[in-house]
Amino acid sequence: MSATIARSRGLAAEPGVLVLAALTVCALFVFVVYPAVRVLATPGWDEALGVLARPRTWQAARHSLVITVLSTTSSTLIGFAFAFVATRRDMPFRDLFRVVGLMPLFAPPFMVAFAYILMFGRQGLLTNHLLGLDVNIFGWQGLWLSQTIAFFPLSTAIIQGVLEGVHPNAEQAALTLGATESAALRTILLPLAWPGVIGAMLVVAITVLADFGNAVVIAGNYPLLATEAWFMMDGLGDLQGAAVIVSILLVPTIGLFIASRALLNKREFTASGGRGAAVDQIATPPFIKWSAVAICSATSLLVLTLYAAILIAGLTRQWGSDWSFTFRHWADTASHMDAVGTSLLIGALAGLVTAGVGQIAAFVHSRPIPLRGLVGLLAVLPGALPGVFIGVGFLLAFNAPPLELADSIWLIVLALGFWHLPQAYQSTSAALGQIHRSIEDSARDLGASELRLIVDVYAPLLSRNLLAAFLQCFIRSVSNISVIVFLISPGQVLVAYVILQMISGSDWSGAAALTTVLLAITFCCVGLLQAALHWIGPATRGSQA
Amino acid sequence: MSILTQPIARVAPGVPSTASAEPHARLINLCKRLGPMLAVDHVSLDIPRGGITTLLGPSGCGKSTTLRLLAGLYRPDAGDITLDGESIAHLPPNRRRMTMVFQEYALFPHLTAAGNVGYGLRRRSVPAAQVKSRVGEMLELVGLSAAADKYPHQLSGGQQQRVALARALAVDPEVLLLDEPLSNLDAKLRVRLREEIVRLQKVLGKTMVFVTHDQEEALSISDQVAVMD
Ligand SMILES: Nc1ncnc2c1ncn2[C@@H]1O[C@H](COP(=O)(O)OP(=O)(O)OP(=O)(O)O)[C@@H](O)[C@H]1O
Ligand SMILES: [Mg+2]
Repeated sequence: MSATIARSRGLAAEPGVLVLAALTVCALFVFVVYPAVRVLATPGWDEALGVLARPRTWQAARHSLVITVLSTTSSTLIGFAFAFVATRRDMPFRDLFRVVGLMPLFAPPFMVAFAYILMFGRQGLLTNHLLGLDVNIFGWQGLWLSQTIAFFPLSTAIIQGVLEGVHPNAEQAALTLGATESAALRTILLPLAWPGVIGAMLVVAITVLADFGNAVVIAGNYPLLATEAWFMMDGLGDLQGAAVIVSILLVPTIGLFIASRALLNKREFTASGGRGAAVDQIATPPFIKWSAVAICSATSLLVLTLYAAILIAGLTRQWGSDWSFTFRHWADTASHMDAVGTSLLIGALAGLVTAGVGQIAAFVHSRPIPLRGLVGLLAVLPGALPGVFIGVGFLLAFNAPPLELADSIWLIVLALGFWHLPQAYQSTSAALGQIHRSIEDSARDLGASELRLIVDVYAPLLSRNLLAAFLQCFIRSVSNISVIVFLISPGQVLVAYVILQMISGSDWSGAAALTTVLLAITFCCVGLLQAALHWIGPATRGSQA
Repeated sequence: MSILTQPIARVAPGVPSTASAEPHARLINLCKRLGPMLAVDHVSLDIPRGGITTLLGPSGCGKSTTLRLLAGLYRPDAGDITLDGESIAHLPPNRRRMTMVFQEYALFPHLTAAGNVGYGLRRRSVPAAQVKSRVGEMLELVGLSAAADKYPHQLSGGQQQRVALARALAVDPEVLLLDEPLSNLDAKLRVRLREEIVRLQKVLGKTMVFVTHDQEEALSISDQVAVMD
């Protein structure tokens, strides 16, 4: 009874919010649900059975499964090592590992595999030129390594969050109760980190399953579901077949997604309080310490090598045959500036869509109104959808009336904007939660006027958030490949697509030069973001203390 | 920063009969620097056997640091700590036979109350059956038998504190260290629990070092009060 009263009061008080909610739900239905439904509903039974009867489909499914297990395991292990090193005070080279451990996040989705080929492939700088070996890295081994490097930072972020939540006093209590340092880590830290490890595995597994960029560059004759979908459409012109393949791919990703949401919702015992003083942390036993440092060192070396490969290849006359130095390829990138420009425009617009819709959805979700649960669900749903699924979905949904967007950049903008929605929505939701807490604090804090509150709390938190969400989507959209390969129309040129064509045309130095441009843009944006966040000020008043 | 004055008040002059003339533990000229701060500056203190010694002092005077030095969680920069006349300053915390009740309890969130209480026994490789009976005994002692299978987040603040007490006592330590164990509880519960601590001390005859910044609390439970400033 009281719930209904509260609800109807909310109804009466805020008609504007209700209209906003209705609009948000409409937008989410049109740009999230409708394309997904089109993918699942378009192929006829004959079509679906035909695709399912192909042995290659099952081969791709099996390969996807195998590579997911391999890459998820290795990424999570390495991610754990990085998270561990980042959260122990007595680790050497901590700051270096922290920085290098983030670098793969900024790499375009095809870059790790491409750089890996440059360094370790048949014409690789290290394998062939320096060591004189003839190796073939195309296939699952190369893909495994590329995905491990590309995706371990995802698990680092998640596991680090959990490790930071473990109060150092718990480890100390274990010591006073008779545990050795390694027993304390094994019996206290490890079990407490476990939910984070599982959560990281689920997220990485979704990413590996959906990975298109690395697979298309390095998997060679190793068909996977994500690349097979594109092959269906691009090679065989069979859009319905592609829809069947991405629907198959959706089964495990949805399952993993639901599992990760469920895990997030029952994390009560990991949140054991804030961080204690770093000095209170127990010493890390030497064996564990140096094992972690060894893993991080080897990985960091590889990451730096791969970045170096891109830089060097862009400055080399002809990779594999003429190793002399040249600025020619860098100069040649000028001829692709139209592609760069279009990509930047698409990235900026997609960023605006994500940040805008994400904020509105989070706001709507925070109000006591009907449909708020639906908004919350639909806003995180794209996180379960692989890029190739989004690509096929938007192609099917918006290529013909009533909503025809083909040949305009809006098709790609909306696809990328709504695909990146979950991050923007979730960070805004978290920020709104924090604002509610800050308001409670300030209410106790005598003399905090309404205006002060807005200036002190709302403005910095939301603008931080808006900027971060915008930039994250922008960076990913500019270099996106999995969605745009389906949506790009013959007249359009986008920089990531151009690079991909150069790689497959063996113009490696040209591709590397253009990738360097992409990286330069990315790192400039990150630098600008940092500067802007610094200018806006700290996240909360509490964190100043 | 802080200098310890020797006992200024003996609330209960008749220290329990288990006490002998020889102090159970001694702090001798202890010094500890934390960051730029000399957190503990030449502290000396005798801790009699089988009584409650309170460290009383304002916030930031180095009470916790002193207790952590005793527990072995920090190494002293200078000075010595003895237990039964033998220096233990070089021993790691897991070999000191002193357990600690932390201000925020520091319970293990992934273990039940019983799991928490049995933790120290399992680290000492005590057989499972013995662990079980000892855990039952300790939980009964603090009146929490019914909550044995609950996780810390399912317990109230007072219950958590009792689990922390039982966990520290289960391994039968030489000295029990308590760092403001009642400061997170409301006033009524605080009085109840401190009476319980006194009762436990009487029953078990343990040597206890109790840190507080509450003068009334210090006077009401201690056999000896040491003031730090
Ligand atoms: N990790 C640390 N790094 C630097 N200085 C510290 C650290 N921990 C404590 N200190 C300083 O050492 C001094 C003593 O700290 P300690 O925690 O022992 O005080 P306390 O008497 O227990 O205070 P409280 O009643 O607030 O718990 C304080 O001035 C504190 O600022
Ligand atoms: Mg203290």
